[in-house]
Formats: sequence, C-alpha cells, structure tokens
Amino acid sequence: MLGLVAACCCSRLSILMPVIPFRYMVSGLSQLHGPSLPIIRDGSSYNRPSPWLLVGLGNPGPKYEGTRHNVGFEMIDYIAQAENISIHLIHCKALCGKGHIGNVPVLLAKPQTYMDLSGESVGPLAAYHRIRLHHVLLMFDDMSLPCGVLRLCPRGGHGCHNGVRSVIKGFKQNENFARLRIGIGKPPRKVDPKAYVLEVFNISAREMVNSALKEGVEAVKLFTSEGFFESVNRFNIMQKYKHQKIDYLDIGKIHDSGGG
Amino acid sequence: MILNTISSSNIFTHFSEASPTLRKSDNVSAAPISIGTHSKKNYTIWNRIITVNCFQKSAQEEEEKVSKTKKLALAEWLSSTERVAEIPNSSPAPPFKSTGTPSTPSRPSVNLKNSAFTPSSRTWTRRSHGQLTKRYEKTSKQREPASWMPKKPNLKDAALATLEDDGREVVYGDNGLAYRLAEAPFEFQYSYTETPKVKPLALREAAYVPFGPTTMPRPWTGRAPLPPSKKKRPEFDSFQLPPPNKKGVKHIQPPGPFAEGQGPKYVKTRDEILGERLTKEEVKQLVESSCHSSRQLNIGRDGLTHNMLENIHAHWKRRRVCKIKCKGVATVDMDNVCNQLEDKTGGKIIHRDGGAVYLFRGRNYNYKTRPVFPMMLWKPAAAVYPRLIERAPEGLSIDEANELRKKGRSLLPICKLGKNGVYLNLVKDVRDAFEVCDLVRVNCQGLKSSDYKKIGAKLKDLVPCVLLSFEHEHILMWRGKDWKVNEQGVGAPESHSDKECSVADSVEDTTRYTVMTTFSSDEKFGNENPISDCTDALTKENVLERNSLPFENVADQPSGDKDEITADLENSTSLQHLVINVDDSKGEENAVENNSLAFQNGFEFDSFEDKLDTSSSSEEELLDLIKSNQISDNVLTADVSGSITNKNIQFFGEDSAYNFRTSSSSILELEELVESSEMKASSNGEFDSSVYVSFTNTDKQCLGEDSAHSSEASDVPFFHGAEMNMVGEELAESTDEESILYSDEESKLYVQPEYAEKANGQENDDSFNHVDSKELIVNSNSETSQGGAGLHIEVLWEQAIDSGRVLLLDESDVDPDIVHQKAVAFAKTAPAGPFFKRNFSRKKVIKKPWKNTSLVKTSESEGLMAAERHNNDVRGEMPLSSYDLPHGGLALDELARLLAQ
Repeated sequence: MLGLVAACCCSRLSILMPVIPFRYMVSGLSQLHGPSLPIIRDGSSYNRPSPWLLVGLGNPGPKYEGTRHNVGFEMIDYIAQAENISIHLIHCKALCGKGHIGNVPVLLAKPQTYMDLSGESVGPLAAYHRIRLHHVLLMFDDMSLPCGVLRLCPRGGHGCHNGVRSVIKGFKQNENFARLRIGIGKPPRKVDPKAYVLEVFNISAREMVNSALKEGVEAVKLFTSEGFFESVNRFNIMQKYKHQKIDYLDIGKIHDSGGG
Repeated sequence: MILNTISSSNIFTHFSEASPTLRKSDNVSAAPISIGTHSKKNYTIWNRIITVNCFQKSAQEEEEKVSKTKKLALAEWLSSTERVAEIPNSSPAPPFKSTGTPSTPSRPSVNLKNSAFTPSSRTWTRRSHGQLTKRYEKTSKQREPASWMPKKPNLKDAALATLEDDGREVVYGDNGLAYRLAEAPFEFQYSYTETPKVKPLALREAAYVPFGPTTMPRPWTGRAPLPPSKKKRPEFDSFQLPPPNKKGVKHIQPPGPFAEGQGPKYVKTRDEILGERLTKEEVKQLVESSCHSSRQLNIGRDGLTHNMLENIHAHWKRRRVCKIKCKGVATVDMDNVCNQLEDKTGGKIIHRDGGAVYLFRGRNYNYKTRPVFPMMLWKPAAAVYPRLIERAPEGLSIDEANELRKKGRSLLPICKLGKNGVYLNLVKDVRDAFEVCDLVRVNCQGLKSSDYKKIGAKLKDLVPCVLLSFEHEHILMWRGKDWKVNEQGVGAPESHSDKECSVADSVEDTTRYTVMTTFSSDEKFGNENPISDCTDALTKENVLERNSLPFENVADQPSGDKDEITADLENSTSLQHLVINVDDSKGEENAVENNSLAFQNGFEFDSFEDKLDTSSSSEEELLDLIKSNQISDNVLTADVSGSITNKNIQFFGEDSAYNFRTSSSSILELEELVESSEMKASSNGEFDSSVYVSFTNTDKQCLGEDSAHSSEASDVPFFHGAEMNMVGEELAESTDEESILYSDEESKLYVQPEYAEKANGQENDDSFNHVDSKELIVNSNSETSQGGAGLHIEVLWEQAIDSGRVLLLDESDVDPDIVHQKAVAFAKTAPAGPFFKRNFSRKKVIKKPWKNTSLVKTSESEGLMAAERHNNDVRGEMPLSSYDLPHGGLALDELARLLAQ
C-alpha cells in the first residue's frame, strides 16, 4: 500500500521515473472472472479490489420521478442510502457519487441525459475512470420480467430498452457489461408500452417494487464483492419464482403430521 | 362342420366354439396366460370348465366324443411341452392337414420363421415389402371370417402348432409392453420412448403380437392393402450408385464421407459401419447440408415408434443424415429420445438443436445390408397402468393432500406449455422452482389431456416429485418431504458455470497469477534471488505458452487446457534449454555493453541470472539493466496488448522488438507510442501480454529471422484465437473490451509527452504543460503502478474535480429539476469526456508483409543495434534495413497537426 502511494507520488514528482511494469496485470488478473477481491496476495500485498461503476437508468427531472422507467434511479438511491454515499456531483452528464460497498470502491451514476442518450454519459464516465466493462453494472427496468422480480446477468442484449441500446452504443457496441434487470411487468392489453413505462407505479406494484429494491441492494453487494457466482445464480432463481411462493405457514405441520 | 382355414386354429377358439358362454372367460384368462407359463394347472382348470359346459350341451354327445378325444390329445400336448411365456393366440398355421375338406392347404400369411428371422447368412434382412403385402392381402381376405367367427377347430393342427418354434411372445414387465421375437436384437415395442416404464396391471384385451394378421385373433378392420406393383425393383445397394445422369432415379448421396483414397467397405458391426469418428468439419458440412432441407422425420406424442425405424432407414437410403424433429411430449426427455435413436437404428447423432436431432447413418452404411424388422401392423393392446395420482401420495393423509391441492389452486403457474411445443427446459425449470417453493404448478391449457398426463408422469420420474392433481388443465406437483434445498444453487446455468465460474479456470488463472506477481514484485525491488526464481517461472511460462499455442485442442477445451499446458511444459524442456543457451551468449554481450537493452523481455532475465551467477557485472549495470528492462517491458507489454486487439498487428512480431528500442532512444515513434500508451492505459487486465511478448521473442530467437517473421505473421491470428481460448471467453472479452481505446485528441496529447519524456529524458514541451497533460501523466503512472484499484479511482476523481470536469452540487440541491438544469448547463461548458474509440468487433487479422521502413538512427540506438547485430548472428540472416525503426509517417503528420492546434 505504501509502496503504491510512493510509486504514485514518485511518478507525479519525477516523470522520468520508469513506470513499473506488470503491475497492472496483477489487478487485471484478479478481475477476470468478476470478483473484485483478488485472491492472490503476493509479497507487496496488492489486495485492492477494482472499482465498479453502478449506473441506474432513468429520465431526469421531476416529471419522470417515480415512473416505471426510472426504477434504475430508484435503485441507485436505495444503494446510496444503504451505503451512505452522497450523490452530489455532476460528471460526464451524470449525477455521480463515489463510495464503498464493503471494501469495493463503487461509483454510482444517474445519467442526466434523457434515457435514449444515456450512452453519452455512461461511455465517457467508464472511459474516464478506466473501468473495465465487466465491472459496469447497469440497472434498468424490464418489461419481460414480472413486477418486482430482479435478475442479475453478466451480459446480454438491449432487450428493446432504448437506454440500454444507447449505453451499448456508448460502449461501441460492446454488450459485455453486467445488468440488474428490474421487472415492471407487462402492460395490460391495449396499453401502449411507451405510455406504460412512463406511468407511475400503482400501489400494489409500488409495494412489490420497493421490496424488490431492498433485495436489490443486497444483490448488488453480493455481486460487487463476489462476482457472478453460484450465489448470484441462486439469487436469480429465488427472484424468478418468488411470486410462485405461497404462504406455507402450516406446511411444516403437514409435513410433520404426514411423517407420522 | 367344415373348416375354412387353419390359421385361426388356436386353442382358445376351440373352446369357445365348444361352449359359447366360455368366450368371456377365455378373454379373461388370456392376460395372465400371456404373462406366465402354461402350466398343467391352467390346463386342468380349463378342462374342468369345458367338461361342465359340455354336460350342459348334452345334445351334442356325438360330437363330444370326437372333441373329447381331441381335447385329450391337446391335453397331452400341453402337459408334455414345456412352454415358457408364449402367446397362445399367436399360432401360425402348420402345414394344413384337413380331415375332410378338399381345399388346398393355405399358407400362413407371414411366415416369419422362414423370412425375416431365419438364421441364415443374412440375418435381419427381409424380403421386399411388396412380397409381404402381397401375402398379407391374400390371407386377410381368406382369414377374416376365420379368425372371428366360431369355427370348428382342428385340434390336431393346433396341437402341432409349436408356438415355441416361432419364439414370439408378449412380455410386459417394467418396461411396459414388449414383443420378443426369436433372433431379434432387442425387444420390439410400439414406442421406444413413450412406453411407460411401469409394469402394467392388466391389458384391456388379449395380448397379441402385432406383426401379422395370423398372429392374432382379431378381425382385420383396416382397408385392404393395395396389390403389389408388378414392377420388379432391384435391391438397392448404396455402394453401387446408379449413374448420375440416369433418368428416373432420384438423387442419392454416396456413402461417406471418406478421406482421400478410401472407399466404402462391406462391414457388419455397428462400429464398423459408423467408421472413424467424424471430424468437426465433416459434422458441420453434414449438418449444413441437411438442416435446410425439408426431408425430415417428425416425432410426436407417440415418440419413437417401431415403424419409424424403417422410416429412418428409408431416409438413409438416399441421405447421409436424417433430420428428426421432435415436438410435444417426447421433448421433455430428449436425452432418452437420442439414446433410443442411436441404440435402435445404429446411427450416430451428430447434432442436436432444441427438438431437432441429426442422425448420421455411418460412413459405411449400406441400405442393402441394413437390419430389417417386421412392421408393426396394429397398435398394441392398451394396457392398464397404476394410477398416476394417488389420493394420498407419499405418506400424506388424504386431508393433507387435499389441503395441498387446495393451496395449489391459487398458485401462479411457473410456465405455460404450448400445444405441441418443445419442452426442453421444463424439467430444469421445475427443479429450480422446487428450490424455492414446495408446490409447483404448470399451466397446460390447450394441451390434450393425455399429453399433460404423460408430461406429468415424466416429471414425476425425472424431477422427481409427487403429482397432486391435473385439475383445470394444470399439473400440480409437490416436491415431497425429502427434497433437499441446495443452498449453493443447483440450477446454476451451465453456460455461466462453464465460462465464468469454473473452478478449473480460476485455479489455472491463479497459478499463472502467482507467477506473474512474483515476477513483478521481484522486478520492482531488484532482489537477486527471486529474480532467478522468477526467470525460471517466466521462461517456463514462455515456453509453455509458446508450445501450447499450436494446440488446436486448447480451443476446444478451454477448461481442460491446464493439463495440456502442464504436459507441454514437460515436453518443452529441450526448447527451454535452447533458449537459455541463446541467452547465455546474449547475456555476455549485454555485460559488455553497459547501456544495452535486451531485446527479449523474458530472456533478459536469463541474462540477469547468468550475470548473477558469474558475478561479472557490477551493481550499476544491474540497476541499469533493470531500469531499461522496466522501460522496455512497459512499452512492450503495451504494444503487444495493442497487437492483441489487431490494430497494431503489423507491429506485433517484428516491431515489438523495435518498439522498446524506440522508447529508450529518442526517436519519435509517436503513432506507436501513442497507441501503445493508450493501450497500456487501457489494458489493465492483460496479464498475458508479457507472456505473449516473450512468446514472439522465443520464436525469433529460436528460428531464423525470416522464418520467424513468416511464422509470426501466420501465428498472429492463431495466437489471437489461442489467447482467447486459453484464458476463456471472459478474458478474451475483457481484453477486447479494454482495448477499445480512449482516444480523444486530448488523451493523445496527454500520453504522448509522457513517453517523450520517458524516452528522451528531456523536459516537457510547454505546449504539453497544461493541466490536462499533467493530469494524465499522473493518471497513467498511477494506473500502471497500481492496478487500477481504489486509489486510482480516487486520484482520477480528484483530478476531475481539480480540472473542472466536475460540478459539485450543494447538498441542498435535491430537487431533480434543479439538478437536471445544472447538469445541462454544466455539460455545455465542461470538456467532453474521453470516448471509447473503436467498435467492438473481432476483425480478422490481415497478414502484413515485412516492412522495411527506415527513418532515423540515433546514437542512442547504437547499443541496441549492437545487441541486435549479435542477436542477428544467432538467429541467422536479418536484413540490414530491419535495424531501422519502423515508423508511421502518418503518425508524425498527425502529431504535427495536433501540436499545431
């Protein structure tokens, strides 16, 4: 750690100082498979996780607050609240905040461009901070999932979401960034999907989404610390079938009596 | 009474004729008989009944006497012959010996004994289909009344009909109803995939073997088959094809595919017919040739039926591959379908895609020598199976089960099955759902009721679970008491686990990782002992990489390449020695030349080692060397990372060696430098680049220069692919994604001075001295010095704040409107951020010719040149002009343009 700082300072002071080679490979390796925590601790003890960029998609302004399309913003707010991160910076057209989840440094961003132009903000943000794309987590609403169901994916397509489309474009057609999809349910019949996503949640859906966002915070913690592993798969399965669960207060009794 | 025919002369019809009331009992008794053996006890029971009935019919006393004698004869026969599990109904006629009729003896309709199942040289080849139908037609006309109407039997004939000789029997056991014929390779079943694997409780009618009309006491209800065509068709031999231009012959694919100089062989066993394993290319070709054709075999709710085997052979008659499409119930368990297909037809499944299966016939397949089975002409007798849904399953009481059912009614179904859909993932989905919930409901609305019952039965076996109800066209399942929830997530998607979560991969990475980390740390501190260690490690790594590259298998088995690499490592010791030898000489050279730089990164350390051993150099030299190495390493890695991304491919082999010379000399290789620095800045994760550098260098050193160039040039795309497969897709993607560069004009400016300074050791030009350039220098330095971790982001953050790229909002500004307005206003003034430069695409590497570009020689590069010259001697010939540094003329122009701005 000290060596690191020293190296950094040296490079600031004397530009002639040769740059230490291979150093960056160390961190690169640890992040190959997603987890932020490097597994290897060598003599110089480089045990620093690499940062994550967490981006929530939404439309700026009070007009769109609380709408289905702005679930990404809400997710960021929840994370910021849970981790005590203040989001009060405007950088690369996005409202940014910097903090830590556990010991993983994270950047939270809410692009203030409109949804269809989110890539203009997210691309430069990731580029400026040199964040590798598999350490970008994009959070957005998804009509193909039932309301309140979350899903963490290591990569994917745009799924006809204009925000994601734009972000992919901002990353130069690279789709290999992680996503947290937040289900908002399909629009009822004869409702225009565009109108549907720009509507405010109804009461029951709001409850479901709120509980889902709380679970989402946990999921993001898990994901940033461990990467895409079994636990995330399990999280996805739990989420997928969470509405199929019914209250089984007495199923235990049934089991017991059945066993007897 | 006159007998019309003989074929109906089976023992049961005798009795029923003697006593019409007995007919019922006859049917009842048929089922158990067909399972078990004919014992004496059975016989006696019948006899008693018969005699009772006969007394009732006392009017026919005269006939009774005759019949009695015949019955006795029958009794004798029954008791004498030990018959094991045979079907009593199936009694093909023996040679006819009529007692009083002048009719000519009729032949059995299908004499299976003498046709398909004869133990001749050609077992399992049959007569042509025409022949079969011909006889069939003839006999069905004659026999129709005979089998149905009560006729006076000929007991003598019946007694003579030794059922055992035919060897036909109906078996029903754990695999359901099956028919065992003599010399058949397996038990025939109506459906090989959809027959329930439960022992039936009973049959709804008497069991019979459905291979011919004489084998069963059933009326022929179908339409009479068409008369056979008079045309005589030759037996089709797949090895002797008709000439291609012959009229009236459809296209026939020749046997194969074969390698050059090989041809089809007349072989018998399955393995021989299949021939050598198909290569990937062959498989691809075969599948592509058949995937768009409409010739296909459909498998539906009956699954793979017996007669489909013949259909598959009919497909194979003209095509190498038979495309089979499955839909509906069968797709729940596709593995079973595939196994059965391979097992029963002898083909090989070469491709599976959803419900579609591509079945290859084998290289030496000959239609003429295919196995031929008799066709099944009736559906088998329906069997009675135990109830699928019990009222109180699995130890639940009825109330509890009802309670569960009640709860299930309000449950959301996990999925809806479409009619005749492909249900490949159903089992996995249900298993996943059971991880979370106790009850699972599947919506089957619109399906045939038998279909979802079959699906339910399959799920019961495959998941496994307890079926609760089929109410409202939904399958309701309970996971049972014994279900153990796997906390680690059973249902992890396989693709993910393969690509990302595989333990083997991570282990492999960590091993490499350790090597690299020790290397870097040692290098940094310049310790003596570790250097030797890490050189070993590095050279091993080099050789290892170098050797593992030619393996195509690496591409096939990303997870299993670790073993391979280790194997390579063992094999490559000789090469390593060679390399070290080369380096020994080079090390001497280096020792002589104080300021010289080694060309080969990895082997630089060998020379270190030598020096350390011989202690021929002073500490200063060492330090210098270390420094120079560091520089060279730096640029080299950066450069090679560039070449990985295909942009700098032309620099990859040859220029990488020059590049770092450039860096130490004062030559402005700006384009490359900018590129490389960009690469470096962006390529945090490319730990492999160093390894690859040394790989190319090994190539250079071991081979002659010219060949080295060619080999490198040819290796480049390969190398690219190998890299991707070695490290796994994820890494490849990461490297690719990282190599999408941040290239702003600004960033070029930032980066360039840094390198200019580093290279020249001069002061910065004033034009670069604005805040941004300073900022980026620090950035890149900090980044390279530590792995882009938290500190780096903080530094970047601070710099962003310092440089005015960031607008700080007040804490009170929480109103989204104000935030948005401020953001918009700020975006107009703030500098646009860096952008990703290149599109994400894996371009094909274009082989570039060796470039003899000479621009500038400087005095500083002479040391290099000396070393190079020496290297040249070692390697062989090297064109003089290759000392000169390659340069991009464009880069200079570009720089000039940028500077002018």
